[in-house]
Amino acid sequence: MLKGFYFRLAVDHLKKNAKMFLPFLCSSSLTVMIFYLVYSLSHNEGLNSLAGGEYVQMLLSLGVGVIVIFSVIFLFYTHSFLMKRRKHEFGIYNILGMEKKHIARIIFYETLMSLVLSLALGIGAGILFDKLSYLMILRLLSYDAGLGFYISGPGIFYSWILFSLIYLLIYIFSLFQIQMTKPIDLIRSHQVGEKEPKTKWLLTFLGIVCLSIGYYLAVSIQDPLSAFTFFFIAVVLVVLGTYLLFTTGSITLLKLLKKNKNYYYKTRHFISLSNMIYRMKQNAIGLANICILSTMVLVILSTTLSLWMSIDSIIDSRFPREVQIAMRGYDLATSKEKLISVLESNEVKAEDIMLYRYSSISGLLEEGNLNTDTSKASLSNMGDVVSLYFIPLEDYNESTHQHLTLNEDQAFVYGTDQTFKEDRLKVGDVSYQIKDTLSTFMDNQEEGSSIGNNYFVVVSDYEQVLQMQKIQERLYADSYNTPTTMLSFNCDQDHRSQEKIASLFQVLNVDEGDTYQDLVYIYTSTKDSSYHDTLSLYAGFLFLGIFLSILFIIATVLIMYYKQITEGLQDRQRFEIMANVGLEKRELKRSINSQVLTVFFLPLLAAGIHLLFAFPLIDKLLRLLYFDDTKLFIQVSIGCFLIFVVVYSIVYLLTSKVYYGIVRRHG
Amino acid sequence: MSLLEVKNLKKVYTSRFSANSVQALKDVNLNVEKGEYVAIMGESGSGKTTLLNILASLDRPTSGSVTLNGKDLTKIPDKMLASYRRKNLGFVFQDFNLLNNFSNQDNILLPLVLSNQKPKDMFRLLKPLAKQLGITEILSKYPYEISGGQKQRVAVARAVITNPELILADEPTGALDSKSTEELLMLFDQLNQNEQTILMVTHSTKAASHAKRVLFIKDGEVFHQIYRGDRTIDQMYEVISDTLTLLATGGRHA
Ligand SMILES: Nc1ncnc2c1ncn2[C@@H]1O[C@H](COP(=O)(O)OP(=O)(O)OP(=O)(O)O)[C@@H](O)[C@H]1O
Ligand SMILES: [Mg+2]
Repeated sequence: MLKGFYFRLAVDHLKKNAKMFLPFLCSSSLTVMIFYLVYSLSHNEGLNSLAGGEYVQMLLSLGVGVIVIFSVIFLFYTHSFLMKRRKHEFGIYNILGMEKKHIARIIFYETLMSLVLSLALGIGAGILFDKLSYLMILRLLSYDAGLGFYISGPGIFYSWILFSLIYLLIYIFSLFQIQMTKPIDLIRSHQVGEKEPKTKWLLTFLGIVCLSIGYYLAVSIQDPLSAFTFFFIAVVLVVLGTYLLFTTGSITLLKLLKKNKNYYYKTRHFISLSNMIYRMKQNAIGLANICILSTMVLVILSTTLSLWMSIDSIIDSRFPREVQIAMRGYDLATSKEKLISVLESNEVKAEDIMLYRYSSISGLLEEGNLNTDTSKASLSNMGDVVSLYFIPLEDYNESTHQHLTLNEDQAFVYGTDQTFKEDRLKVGDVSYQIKDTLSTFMDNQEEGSSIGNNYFVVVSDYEQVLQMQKIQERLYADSYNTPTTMLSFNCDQDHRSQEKIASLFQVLNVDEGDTYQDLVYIYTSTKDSSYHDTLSLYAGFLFLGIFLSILFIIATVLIMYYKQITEGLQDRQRFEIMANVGLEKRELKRSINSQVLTVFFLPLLAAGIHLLFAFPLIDKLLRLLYFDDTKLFIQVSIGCFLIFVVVYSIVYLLTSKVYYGIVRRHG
Repeated sequence: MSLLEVKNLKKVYTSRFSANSVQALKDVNLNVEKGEYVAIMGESGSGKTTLLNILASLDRPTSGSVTLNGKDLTKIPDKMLASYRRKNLGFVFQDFNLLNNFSNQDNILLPLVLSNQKPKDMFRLLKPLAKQLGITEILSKYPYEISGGQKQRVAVARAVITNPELILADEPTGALDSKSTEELLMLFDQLNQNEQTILMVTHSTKAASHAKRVLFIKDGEVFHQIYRGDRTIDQMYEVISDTLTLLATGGRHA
């Protein structure tokens, strides 16, 4: 009987507060849906059996982790909005004689209902959209898909487990809050927030420092490898800086302005400043969240889209020729003939053939001297590590149709990113006199896939190349590169597939011998297979990118919505009083508009600035994924930003209607 | 010419949702001279707040006129009302109407800031006023940090700092204990001695007994009035009590 009473009270409350509760329920359901979707897809067997599908699933599994973390934070945070608004009500219940354990029971029913509803709705929608997403992935991977319905049992199971746990946490936290507060505080809780915040110089300063270092790292890092390391540090610093500056920085600034009496006691500044201090205190975290979420959406969308769009040019630059055979073995004297003989004996219609031998060695280049003491190399000077490719003159002349000559102690040098400035090059105890630096070089594929600084050193003959190999093996006791003969060619005239042709070369493998020098390994890669791998990888990125963006946008919308409602209710009374004291309606309206606009577009502006600073860093990171079309990236980023501004403004307009509706109700 | 002249004031509330309308004010006539201290009394629902709101130009009458210093308030266009109110009227509300996000000092200065005064001038006005009202110490605090009596004094300071022609107070002692009420009434007496015109709506016989004239409103009309004349506050108290009893028992004044 009594049990029914509290249950009814809970239902009643949820109905009456639909305005607050429904949005929470929606976003909770959507979170469940996305979790279910991504989980189900990452375990979809159909997807697994597709070529390239495993890349997509690997990325989706990573995505599941991100979504779990995000769901916990997001639901916790939005639920606290609900609780804040209810404390007053609970206070009155409490004073009227309802015990805390009864309040706990009401909260229990409410939380339980939210949980069940979100799971039912979320998983329902998830199952519906599961098929759709699957078809979308197949399309991205350019496959045709059959029809059929797929329900993931484990997906449902884990959704229940995860969200039950999250709601349990939420429930415990709510209880804790109720338990910790006295009834009088519960009643006053809606007033406590109105206390003027203190200026926190130290935190403001810390915020500026964090943000500056983060930005500095982002723009100053030059090579992709360090970019990878510092990316996370920069992200953490910027996130920290954003939170600090939104919460304490804004208030410090406003209070500083307030100190200036001639500025503060002007009609417009007077009202805006006092209200802004108050608004920022209430909403700073929410705004910082919106800012971070917006930045994430922008970064994710612009990078995944750019990658996806540039897939053809990435493959082209990685594969100037369709088939690429690397023969790792010491016998440079006959390696070229062996490779050619495979082509001839199988009557491969090969065109545009390129064939050359090399040995490569890496180290730190100091004034023309290659330092191979790798203990000196640390993360910070990773970018200074260079690779030297030694190539015999004969091969160079052949592929560039030239007749250059060299003495045994002479060399030509070509730098991929920079010119070689010294006139001698010394490796170990051998030193070459640089006869000339080359301004162009034969198009070379190893180079395209490498991200460090490379030099190609043309030496008189392959004996010199082998000598370099020996030096390398002496300097790097057990981790050295094997001499390589590279063959690459086009074969679109041939009726056989690229894979098939590449596999013909496997006959050259030698896996037995007296010494390691007798062994030969054949490595093949083709444009076709690589295209497919890359496609799947980028499709996975894009897909995940879209999902996460949806999730983050939902979060942004919900935070905005709650912010509008809470602010509307609080502002209403204040604006009424001001009207009574003699503030003109027009003036009041203008002041409200400017405050609301500032508060809303501040996070967007900050997100734009973050994106701008992140740009050089991400651009370098993308190079690790073979992406180097900066122009495309700029265009896509700007496009994403503009679209996002439009979406954001629409959300703003819709939610601000709620706000103005509340504020005007009395005016 | 009187400072405030109210002629044939009528206010009918019509509801959008129902056919019946409420006649809050039937036919109110009254004059207030400069420097007067008038209290308005009457039963709950007799139309006191309605009258005050119209005098304050917060609401418009259905018919009739309100003239302040020869200017008809009902003719002032909406746009100008706010600034007119700010320059000529001061308000003291039952529930203070202080803004929690402003310090007490800023609450008091609010009307001056709205009139674009210079900070230097504002503080010149504020200092002696705060001293007179005994609120100098709490100026930098916030409304939620002070007592009800202190809040009301801050509200009074806000009402008088613009040096208004007329102070309108709607049950200013309603939320105060007897000590704070006493203090506030002394304050009003003091203001009135300095030629400040005050119009106060109140249920409290004690508050009304401080006024120089008490009006009784019944069923939307001025039903009776008592001048203090040479009476002491205590004598005045007696007379008002008697009148109220008379009113309550339904007796008709001759
Ligand atoms: N906004 C309104 N709409 C409709 N009727 C109203 C409105 N405001 C007041 N009334 C009605 O007008 C009459 C006078 O109300 P008013 O508030 O002026 O009374 P009052 O004398 O101030 O009473 P109290 O002493 O209780 O404050 C009442 O019958 C009331 O119901
Ligand atoms: Mg009233």
